[in-house]
Amino acid sequence: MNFSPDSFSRQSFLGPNSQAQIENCVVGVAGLGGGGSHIVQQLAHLGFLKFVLFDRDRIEASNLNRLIGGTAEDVSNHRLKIEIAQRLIVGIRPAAEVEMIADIWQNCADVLKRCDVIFGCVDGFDQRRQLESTARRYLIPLIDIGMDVLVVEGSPPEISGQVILSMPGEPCMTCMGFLNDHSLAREAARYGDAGINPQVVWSNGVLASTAVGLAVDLVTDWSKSLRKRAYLCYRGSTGTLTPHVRLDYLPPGPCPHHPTDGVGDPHLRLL
Amino acid sequence: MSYTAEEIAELKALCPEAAEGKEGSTTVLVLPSLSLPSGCVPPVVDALLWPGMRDNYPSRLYLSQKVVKPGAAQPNWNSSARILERNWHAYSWNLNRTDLRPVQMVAEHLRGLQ
Amino acid sequence: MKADIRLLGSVYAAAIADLSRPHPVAAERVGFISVALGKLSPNHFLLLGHGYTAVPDAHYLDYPRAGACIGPDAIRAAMQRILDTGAGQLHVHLHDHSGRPRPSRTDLRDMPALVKSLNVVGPACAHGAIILSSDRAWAQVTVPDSRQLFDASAVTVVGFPLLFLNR
Repeated sequence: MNFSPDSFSRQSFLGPNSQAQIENCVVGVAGLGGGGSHIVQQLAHLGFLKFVLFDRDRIEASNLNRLIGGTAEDVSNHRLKIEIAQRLIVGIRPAAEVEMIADIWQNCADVLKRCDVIFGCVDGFDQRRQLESTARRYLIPLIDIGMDVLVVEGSPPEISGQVILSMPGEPCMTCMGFLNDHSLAREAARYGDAGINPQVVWSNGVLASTAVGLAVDLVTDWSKSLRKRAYLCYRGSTGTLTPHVRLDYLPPGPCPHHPTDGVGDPHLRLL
Repeated sequence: MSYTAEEIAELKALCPEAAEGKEGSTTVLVLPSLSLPSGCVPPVVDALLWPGMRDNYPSRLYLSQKVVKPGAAQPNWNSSARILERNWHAYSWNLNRTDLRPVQMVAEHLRGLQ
Repeated sequence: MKADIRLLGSVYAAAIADLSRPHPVAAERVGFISVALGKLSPNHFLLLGHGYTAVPDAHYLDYPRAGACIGPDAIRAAMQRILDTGAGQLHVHLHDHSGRPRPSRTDLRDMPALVKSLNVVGPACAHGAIILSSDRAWAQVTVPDSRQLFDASAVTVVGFPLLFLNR
């Protein structure tokens, strides 16, 4: 099915070459749960046509509160989340090429490395560290999203979340303080279990939309912001998304955690 | 990280193909086909020593696959990691020491499988 | 055989800035981009451009029949860089127009010999040549499993914004 150029007339402000950039971009999405499902839906609406999806999980009843595109029938049929995402994408863009990997990306990393942009919608700090390491090695921008609910006895719960742009050569998630020894150690002490994080559709939607907006800017440069880095913090009770104060205190110079001369396939040197 | 000739000789005696690689800003040691304590299944795996602080452990030994000890208490596998573009697994075993030579670190970590 | 080139945004910016400078003798400047290799499959490679080295003015030869002619010192320096860093080298220069650049007859004649020299000291690396315009790129590379130069499939600048220079 061919669409007329008018199909994207409402987003022509993104620039004269924007649609070509969007259609040429290969997008990887690690995790097709509450965040990833929102993301692929929006990307499809925008006209992205090349997707690589990683998730080995099947939809469960508890996912229906937030998994975009998921239906009760999908739950009955134990459908793979990547199949729901694929159906969502091609329903909007029949010409889209959707590569589905029913596995964790770590077991088919060579496929991930083909992507131009990666959306990280994974659980846990260590999973994020792994994804960022590979993205940095192969010079791929990574946009990470996640949310959590903080419960303190005697107080109402608070929804928190983040959207982080990790650009090769620029400050990483460790530079920005999001990945740190304390969080990773605490997670390791729980035997690596990231836990069942509370998740709700509207917060996921805010974070996913913001992530997609970042990606569109990265690909089309419509805002001319040249922002290079982003660490946005979401607070559910106030409905706000604000840059993390830490961005103002980043040390100058390149990222020391992922030196740019360490890119590419690892080299082993015999002792 | 640079090792003394003695430390290198010790490592090569343990593992003739011992090599080093860089993950980010950290130099790690790869020990291909490391023999594990008796009773481990499989008995030989590739290993990777992270010789500095990681996740609150002063050092960590990663294995290329989870190991089973039939008829014995199993290690608590609490970490999967991607290092040098390979997948690794580590069990919870804190040496609580930072003064060990690399070959000693490996030996102490392997005590967690005995 | 397929090869995609990804250039760090800072590397691309450094190259453009340097290559745009006038030279006292040569009509155009050349430089070298250091590349690391990623192998996605037996036939699909990534060349990851992570550093830029300008060719010093003194390393050019006064040769009016070519836009730029670099001498043996420049080539020796590139070869030494391979030995010191283990990184492959892409010879780079700039065509001052928009649209897809095309290699000149001189480029096509001289590149194989240059790349052959680089391969001698760095057979495990990728090497080649890349021509940039104001908005596009053309490149030919060799990879360890193929000593023949072949066209790169894609050239991407990994910066903000992402630039697809050759798709």
